[in-house]
Amino acid sequence: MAAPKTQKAQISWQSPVMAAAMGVAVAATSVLLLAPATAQAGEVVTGQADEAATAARLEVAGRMLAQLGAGADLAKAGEPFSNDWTSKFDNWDKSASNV
Amino acid sequence: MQEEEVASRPAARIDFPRTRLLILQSTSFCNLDCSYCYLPERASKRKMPLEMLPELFAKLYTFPTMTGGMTILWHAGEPCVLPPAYYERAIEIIEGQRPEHVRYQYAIVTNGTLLDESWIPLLKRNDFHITLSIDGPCEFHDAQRRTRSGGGTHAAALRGLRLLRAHDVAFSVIAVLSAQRLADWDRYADFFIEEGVASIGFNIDEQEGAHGTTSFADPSLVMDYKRFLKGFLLRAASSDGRISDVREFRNAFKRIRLAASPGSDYHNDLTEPFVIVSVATDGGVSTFSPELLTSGHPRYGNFVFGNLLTDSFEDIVHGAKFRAVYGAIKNGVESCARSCSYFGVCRGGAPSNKLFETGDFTCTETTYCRLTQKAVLDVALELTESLVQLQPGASAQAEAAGI
Repeated sequence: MAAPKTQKAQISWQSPVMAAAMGVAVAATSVLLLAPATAQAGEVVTGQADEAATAARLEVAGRMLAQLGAGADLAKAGEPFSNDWTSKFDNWDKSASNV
Repeated sequence: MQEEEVASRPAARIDFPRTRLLILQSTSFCNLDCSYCYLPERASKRKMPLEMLPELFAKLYTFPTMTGGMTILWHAGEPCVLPPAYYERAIEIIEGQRPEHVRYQYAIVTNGTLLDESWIPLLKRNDFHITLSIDGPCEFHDAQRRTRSGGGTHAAALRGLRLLRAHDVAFSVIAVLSAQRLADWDRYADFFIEEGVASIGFNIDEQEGAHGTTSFADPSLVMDYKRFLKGFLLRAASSDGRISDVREFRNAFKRIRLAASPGSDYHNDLTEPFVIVSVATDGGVSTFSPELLTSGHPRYGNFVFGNLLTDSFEDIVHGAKFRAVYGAIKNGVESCARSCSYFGVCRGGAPSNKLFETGDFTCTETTYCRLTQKAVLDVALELTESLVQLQPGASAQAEAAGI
């Protein structure tokens, strides 16, 4: 087995792609440590998720994101929210426009 | 509940969510013959006659779901094999009949190979949302996206992409990923950065419709897929904004956030009838997964639930086939709700993938959902949890949120 690479990479939560994904730019000082993309299997990101705990983790993460203001632009009055599968076909963020 | 029971019950109340995506199959034909294409009739040159549009839309406007803003997407064939004048006239007709309570965003998915200067006025004037199907570098793209004689199409697709850039026409790219490319996130990123592609989504080669296999069938590939996603996101995040939108994460964070919103009416676009309405060249109409419009199955026949030229909305929703399919899809969603930890965000998966992977709408986990839902959400969850740990003040906010 190849020796695991130990180099760590950093990603700013405020980098354009993350800010766009989040719908909000959070504190500039926030930094995420991403495991190297070539990390060995078994790290948290690439390991098998504990499915039993996932529902609770999703709920907590959703509340945390809401607390941080992420996706605040989505909360349009009267608009239903959806798991937007339509972007599988056209890859456009419909929640960001009037349609 | 068995689908026969659902089919024998009185029709449910017609209070479905509103339509968000209206897919029009202007032509079934495609000038390419991609290895993973799900369209069975892509060699057929059927075309939706413009003369049909007034009647089609008159009927569509009787659908109670046709209200508010929605996207009209020309798809289910290569739309650019028809000339821009076709779409100019189509939009004139559609806008001429459009009620005030309906708003449209026009969109097109194209392989880009037929785009030339003549398309630019149409695309700009109508503010089209344009999605190009380009599978990354030439070697990756031409291995999958070929002509009928087996020739590569990358050069022609790039001409289309560069034409749009030269005219400052915004576009997005969807790249279809195969399992053989899961270590190549850097090469994808290099290519998209070099070609000025800022918005990218990765579909996978799916087992559905006319494409009977997927390269992702081995469950162990989920780990490699997560590495790919994370590796690509890392490159995007360090690209100084040149890659500013990765669909998988854009959607994942929103899904996580919105699914946890108290009182939100959060649903699955693919399992609720008529959120997506797909119309074939002959006026045949389908809903749920768009792939169903052009697909068949021994158990159900095709998934055309009626024809807009002859059938009313009530005819369609009271029809035996619609009710059987809807009943089976609902049973599948209920099974997911009982068994899947990701249900709160996913809300029941993709009906077409369930059917074509397992032969049954009522099943739960599919290869498709392991990758496009579970794997993506796992990575997004880890990022979010890292944020909670590392962002100054986040702990206090989390405490305030009762977390």
